[in-house]
Amino acid sequence: MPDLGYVAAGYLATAAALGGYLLWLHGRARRARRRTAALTGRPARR
Amino acid sequence: MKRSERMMARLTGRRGERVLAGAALAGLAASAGLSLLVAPPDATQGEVQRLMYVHVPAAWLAYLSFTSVFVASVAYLVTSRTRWDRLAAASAEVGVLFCALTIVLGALWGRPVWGTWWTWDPRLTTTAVLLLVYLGYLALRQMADSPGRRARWSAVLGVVGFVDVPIVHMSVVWWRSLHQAPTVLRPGAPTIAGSMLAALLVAVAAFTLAWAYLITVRLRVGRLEERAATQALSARTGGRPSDGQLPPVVGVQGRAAPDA
Repeated sequence: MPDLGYVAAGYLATAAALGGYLLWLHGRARRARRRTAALTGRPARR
Repeated sequence: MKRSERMMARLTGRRGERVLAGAALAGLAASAGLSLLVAPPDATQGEVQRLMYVHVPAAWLAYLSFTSVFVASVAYLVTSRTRWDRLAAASAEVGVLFCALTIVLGALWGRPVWGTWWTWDPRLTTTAVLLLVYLGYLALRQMADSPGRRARWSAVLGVVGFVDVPIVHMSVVWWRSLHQAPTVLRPGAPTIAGSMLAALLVAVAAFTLAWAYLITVRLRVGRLEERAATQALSARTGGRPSDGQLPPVVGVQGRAAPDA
């Protein structure tokens, strides 16, 4: 049974890594769009 | 536009991204169900062996990412097209994520099975070197002062660094290792029970879809960041190229701008 703790930690670490990276990418996209919008005065394309 | 380019554009478009995200989510949910509820526990390792269904796909995707860096780097060196540099950068970043995850999951598996989180075993050591090589690759991309030079230097490292990938895979065959030998990617039939192999293959497919989705999103972020950098440079130089150091995204026909 204590082994299940390692399994749970592994699956949680995987979910956190994938979800965290995706959130970070969305943040980077938002910042890049804002920077472009500030410089050009119009929202960046996708 | 070529047919392959049209297909790629469709896949990396917003709609393609959503389809990939949905497929990856469904695949990961199915894989979690199979791995945690359907596949039997291992006869000797017990429940902890279920970590295989995330550890092996993570390792496979690290290999796939670094292979993608290698192919894109060779293509960049041959064609000087910035899209290859962008793909190499995206693949390296995603590869580092999966390589680090492989090491963390391996440590979680090693503690109850081997009695230690880490040991200087050939497989573990070569994997740690692999992670360091591609962390160096990402650091190099931050250091180079001109986009053309950055792309060329990183392409060279992307080709040279790939040498470690086959070494990692063969390390358990070439040297005496605590890590188990390959059970699926080996000459002859896989040495793994059918139900476990099925769960593993579903996990590999689901994680590969998640990888494709992450690469697609990372490519879009790369394009947005390049556009923002181009605008910033253009604003600084009053809209004129002042020193030939324009980001590659504004190069002629997608080719990298020349170095200063």
